[in-house]
Amino acid sequence: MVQKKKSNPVIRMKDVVCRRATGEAPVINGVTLTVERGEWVCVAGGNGSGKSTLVRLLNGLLLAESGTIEIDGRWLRADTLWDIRQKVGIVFPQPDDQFVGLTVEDDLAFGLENQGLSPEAIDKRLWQIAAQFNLTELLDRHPGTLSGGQKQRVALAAVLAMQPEILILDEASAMLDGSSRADLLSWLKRTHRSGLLTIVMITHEIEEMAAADRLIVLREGCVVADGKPGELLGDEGLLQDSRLEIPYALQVCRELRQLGVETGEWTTEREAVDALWALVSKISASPIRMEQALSV
Amino acid sequence: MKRQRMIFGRYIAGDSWMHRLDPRAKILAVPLFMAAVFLVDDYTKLLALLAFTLLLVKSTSISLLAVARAVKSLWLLLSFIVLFHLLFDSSGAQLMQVGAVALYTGGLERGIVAALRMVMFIVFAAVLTFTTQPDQLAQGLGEVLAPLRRLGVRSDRLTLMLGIALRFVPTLFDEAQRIWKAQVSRGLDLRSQPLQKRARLLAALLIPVTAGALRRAVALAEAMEARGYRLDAPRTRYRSLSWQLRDSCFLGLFVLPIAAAAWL
Amino acid sequence: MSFQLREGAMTAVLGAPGSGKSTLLQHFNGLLLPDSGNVRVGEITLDAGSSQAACRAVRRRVGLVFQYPEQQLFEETVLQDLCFGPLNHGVDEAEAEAAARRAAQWMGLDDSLLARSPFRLSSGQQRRAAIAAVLACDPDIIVLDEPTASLDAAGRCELMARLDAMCREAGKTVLVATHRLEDVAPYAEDYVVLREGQLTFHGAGHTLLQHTAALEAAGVIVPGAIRLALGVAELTGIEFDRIWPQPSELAAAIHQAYERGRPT
Repeated sequence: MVQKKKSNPVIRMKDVVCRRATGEAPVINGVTLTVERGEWVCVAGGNGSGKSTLVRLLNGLLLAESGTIEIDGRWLRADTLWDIRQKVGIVFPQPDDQFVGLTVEDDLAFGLENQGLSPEAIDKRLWQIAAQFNLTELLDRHPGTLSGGQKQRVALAAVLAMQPEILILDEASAMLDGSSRADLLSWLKRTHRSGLLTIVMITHEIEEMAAADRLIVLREGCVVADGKPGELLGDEGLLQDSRLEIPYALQVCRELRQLGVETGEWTTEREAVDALWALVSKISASPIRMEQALSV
Repeated sequence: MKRQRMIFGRYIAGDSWMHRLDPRAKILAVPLFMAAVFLVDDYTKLLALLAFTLLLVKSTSISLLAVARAVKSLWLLLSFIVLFHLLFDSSGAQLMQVGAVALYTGGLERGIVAALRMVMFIVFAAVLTFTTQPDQLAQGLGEVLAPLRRLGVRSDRLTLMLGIALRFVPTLFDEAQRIWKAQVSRGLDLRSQPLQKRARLLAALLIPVTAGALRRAVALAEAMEARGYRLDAPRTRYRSLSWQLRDSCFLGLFVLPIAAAAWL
Repeated sequence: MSFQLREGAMTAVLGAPGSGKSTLLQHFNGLLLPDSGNVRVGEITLDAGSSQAACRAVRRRVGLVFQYPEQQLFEETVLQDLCFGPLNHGVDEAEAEAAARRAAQWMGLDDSLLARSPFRLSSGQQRRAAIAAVLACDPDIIVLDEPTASLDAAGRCELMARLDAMCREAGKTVLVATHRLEDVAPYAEDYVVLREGQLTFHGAGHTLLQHTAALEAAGVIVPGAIRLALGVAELTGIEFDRIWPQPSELAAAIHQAYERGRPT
């Protein structure tokens, strides 16, 4: 007997509409969605699709014109903003523009000071989070002496020091180089496995989308797709419309199909890679070498 | 690109007694020193004060060269002071005639004394910034101004503004450098242009830097609000300054010159 | 460090942040002068003692696009900003405007955008406008520092394709500094790998992939898609002139091999 997982929504949005200014077209045009506790959701879409607005609605940086937003059972309104911001942490794309303190230590303490924690409590949490994120050596440095990757690490640590339940990442890795991005992704995977955080992530990177539980695609303020990343990433029409990257293997298989070479059934990138590999090893002269590192 | 060299605030790391002082003591010493500088009215007292200042500098680990450089950077202000007295003070014997303007010894004397006062003040201020880390300075100033809240002065906002300025000045400076290089790469060459055109061409630097600063301000405000910051709301302070005996002694040290200047 | 740029082709400079890419690029147009050795651009040679005039002459031939170039836009209209470069180089107004319009076309900027304020463009349009501003000076050599930074997937592909067109159709020499191998792999002919200010590799694409250790040491990740193409090429014995063939190219080659291998 298959047991249905008990629904435990931590974010509930219903018919939300948000406009940048009166008279303008809505940036978010009637979005209804629910996010379960502990879920990892990626939000994707082209520029102007409303992704950034959507996540800013979740912690009240922007207020909806109509519709309701519920965070952990509480309605999000002007008077509940502060309480809700304790539960929702957001990391922005620009490493510099979210670094408030004069030193790393000051920045880590900033959110905790706002929360009204005692200096002793701040001290304890600060050292804990600094150790967790390898920032102990950097505590007295001015942000001008840090690299982008280091600053984003501080930003993430500073947000997590406040112990939110929901973590929002607004293209947090967009300004980072490959290895910093890889570090962030592995940290996310580990954290997700522990089930302690609900993650909402805006990204353009396919690997980040593929690692999530769920992918939501926005276009012009509406949800046009919402499902498992594996399935959605195989939908070329969807990817193209949303200005997303169509995985290489998928493109190759499609071209082959047009040339009349059948590669079998595939809907996800993984399947396309396997199908391609199977085809190629059939026509190759040398035996299949499975150690060809294929971690697409 | 990582920059290990911290040029801002001209903080020079060290462990002298002045480095270890509470920033509030150092900030409070400024008006006291200023009072002393302007109260001295004869040469012996002036030289004594000068000796006191130099002794102060020497006792910290700051090199005299750094201090000299700080004074040198304000040569324009100092020359202006001397010139001002020279041109408008007609006491004492006449020195010389330059065209229609007559210069007098009295003017020269007063000018040099005034400049010397300014030099002492600059030296003191320089040593203060050399021995105090920017975040300490911001916090110290905030706490010193805190009592003014009763008079309606929003000292916490002032502290916030100062802190953010200190945080962003190096960053904005870097960005300005980058933008300048980008415009130079597009052929910008101020030297070959007449003066009027130069002002217009400076827009190529000022507009992008200003636009960038405004953009950052909006983004920063968002980030601060997202982390629970509310303007004028109560919040705890993680760092605390602790006043030691040496800080009282330091301030006491400044009462002496003033007393001496005023009553001797 | 010594190397020569191949004319009329795209060269990629790969390396992690802090490897010296940006510093290297600034030597190409005289923003930085070498401590020893020289940089030769055509008939002009730049060394430690070169004059500003020589640097300016080089800037006419080498266009440098910084990271996040949209930060440098400042004029009232996009067209004026595109004309800024040519005007600085002494070109008359009519010619400058013509050059600006040509550059706008190269970057796919619609005419209607030219009369708008640069601050009213979308981020993608701003990026293209900033690059067009450098192209308007009509340099023979175009050097770009992380041109695809923070662009979405479609934006990255479009931009790289345009840069490739500059090589193939306009005969320009293009150098792209990046940490993303997948951006340059479909187009670059020559690869330079930097690590901590040292050149650890210089050669064509095929040899690059035999030196994956150098890439890894330099902090450059070889994405799975490229390794897939490599694997396919190796198994089927197909050779490509770029290290990462377009999907259509790869499919065509597989199709050929398939046809050859099909039992009759």
